[in-house]
Amino acid sequence: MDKFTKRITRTYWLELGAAIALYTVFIFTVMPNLHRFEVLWQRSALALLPMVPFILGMIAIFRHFRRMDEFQRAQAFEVISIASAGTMFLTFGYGFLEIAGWPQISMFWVWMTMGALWFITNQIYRLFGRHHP
Amino acid sequence: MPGNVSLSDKDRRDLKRFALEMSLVLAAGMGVVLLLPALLRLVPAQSFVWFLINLSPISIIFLAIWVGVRNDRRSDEYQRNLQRRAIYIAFFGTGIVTFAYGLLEMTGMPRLSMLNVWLVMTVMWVAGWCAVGLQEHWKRNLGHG
Repeated sequence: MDKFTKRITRTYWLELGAAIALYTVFIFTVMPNLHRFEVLWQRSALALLPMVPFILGMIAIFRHFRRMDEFQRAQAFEVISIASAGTMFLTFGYGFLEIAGWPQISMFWVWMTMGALWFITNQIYRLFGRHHP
Repeated sequence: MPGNVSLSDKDRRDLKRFALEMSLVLAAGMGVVLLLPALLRLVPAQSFVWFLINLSPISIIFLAIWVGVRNDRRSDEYQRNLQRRAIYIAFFGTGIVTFAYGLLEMTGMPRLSMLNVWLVMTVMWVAGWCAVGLQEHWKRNLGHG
């Protein structure tokens, strides 16, 4: 890894790590206290609080894209396209299996699928893709 | 001025071709989905063929992706850059929406079918295109380009 890539990767993981840490704090403080709120809107507002670190994490990702050079950006885009298409494919397929009688699963699985596909595709690119000139 | 944002002949031709191909795929998709219940009645329920028929609409996603890839091959650097921004909005927007709904499920909202996800993605993609288009329009017409 060259110096530039190393530098932007370090900044990226620092920012993303902070968002993930904040997210963990939110989940462990908010979720066990959810049942204490009787009114639906209060409970919903509290449940949506972990969205804040989630969005902070996305901002960290966007900032990382901004720092990349042209080649890295093009590759990042290919990875995201593949992850998008894969997520569409998997959720669509599972939707039809639901009609066939499979259980309805939580929407949490969607972003987990997105994240997993993104990670896997990224690793495949790192191992077998074209390398930084 | 509005005249500055007109499409080139190539843009127009590509857009027409993409719209035509995508409409054909979507029409085929509608056909498959409408025929599905009738086809499912022909084979014994829960059999292997029945599962395959149930999954057949996935082929439409493949076709749609293929049309997208064809469009991408035709487009130039500038168009590709716009496309890239729209897809980022679709990807991360869908992430935000499904994650938020997952959190709301914990408060007692009902579980929804996974068939809603691609709808969210498509809506986010169109919204992404609108946002990118507006941004470009402002850039050109308000003198920041």
